Amino acid sequence: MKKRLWRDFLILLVIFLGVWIFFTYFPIVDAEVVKETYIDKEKEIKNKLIDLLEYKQADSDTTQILRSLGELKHLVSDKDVKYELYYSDSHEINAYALPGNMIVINRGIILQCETPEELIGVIAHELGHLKMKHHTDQLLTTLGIELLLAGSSSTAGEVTKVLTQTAFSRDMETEADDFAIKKLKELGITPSYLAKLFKRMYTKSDMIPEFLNSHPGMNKRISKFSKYQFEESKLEFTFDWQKVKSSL
Amino acid sequence: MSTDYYPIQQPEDLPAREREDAMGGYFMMFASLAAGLPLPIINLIAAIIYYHVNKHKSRFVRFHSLQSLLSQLPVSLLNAGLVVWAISFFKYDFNFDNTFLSYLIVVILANLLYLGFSIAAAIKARKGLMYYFIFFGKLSYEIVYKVKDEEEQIYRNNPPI
Repeated sequence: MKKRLWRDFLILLVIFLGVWIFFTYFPIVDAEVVKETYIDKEKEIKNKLIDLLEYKQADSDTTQILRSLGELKHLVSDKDVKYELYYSDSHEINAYALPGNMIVINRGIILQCETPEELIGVIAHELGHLKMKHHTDQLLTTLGIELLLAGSSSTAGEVTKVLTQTAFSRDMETEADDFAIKKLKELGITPSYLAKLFKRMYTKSDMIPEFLNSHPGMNKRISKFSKYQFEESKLEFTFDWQKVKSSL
Repeated sequence: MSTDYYPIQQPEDLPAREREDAMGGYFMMFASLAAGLPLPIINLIAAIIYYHVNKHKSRFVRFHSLQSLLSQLPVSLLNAGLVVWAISFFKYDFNFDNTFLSYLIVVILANLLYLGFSIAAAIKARKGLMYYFIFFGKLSYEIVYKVKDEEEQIYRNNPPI
């Protein structure tokens, strides 16, 4: 009986491996075709999202703000992440990263930044979320994989709602902060620029802005960025930041 | 080591209740399999509980419950592998290639086979008949019907030495 058991077990194993190997070398549908379909679908979802929320892509020459954001984007780059920077006309003091390597900056947070270096810090923080794929973790835990593959506009709306309103975990925020500090240092900008922005946002408003509200342990974060001595950055920009802000 | 086996009950010896319990082992898996995706551990837990609750009813019920449970193990492992592999695309940028696609086909085929054989086994069990899956049928028969050595041993009380 034992011999027959082993024989049956081997038959099953051979069938399993045989079918697997067979379809690997003689695929019904080629993986490249599936991949291309998926990429097209992803682009479609992205475009729907952009239309739905009226995002405007930085780098386009249409307005002063988009040109300026494009310049900042070129400064805050990473070899592993090719991202797109978008401007949203929302008055909410917020910036967020979305799947598909998108970073959205709201008008509200731009108006809070006294210098472009502060906004560079915000972009670097969001780039940290993209680099560490935090949105993937967040999506997988809150929505499941299916929503990523679905394409209806209501689904896109739901995804955006969850992504823009659900906080990343404390660990994720710490990782993104650490990435921002590293990136700012690379650019010759002291991380204390971000501390200044956070403090200002705290004191100017009775309500804690969304950008800070979704980031736990705020005092700890401010003191983390405040540890660095403030030095004026030597970066030069082609735009006048105050003029850019007044154009909004 | 014993090579004896307990006799297999015949349909006319099996009450309707036992046949239904034996059939339930397979249908239980369908419900829990659906509920368990994408976490196959849930349906495995349900299958183990069902087996333990019913294993003392009769060898016939125990055989079918065990065959259902054992045959579900590789399917659940394959499903779990698929989920982990799919997540890794998003998390670690794994390359989406034909190896994965063919694994997907294998998993779909395994689930369909499991579904088909389970339905056939459930119908047979309801009729009071045995139904042996390849490997899992023999294994379950060996576990349930084989007379174990300790079961043959007769314990006797003796006076103190």
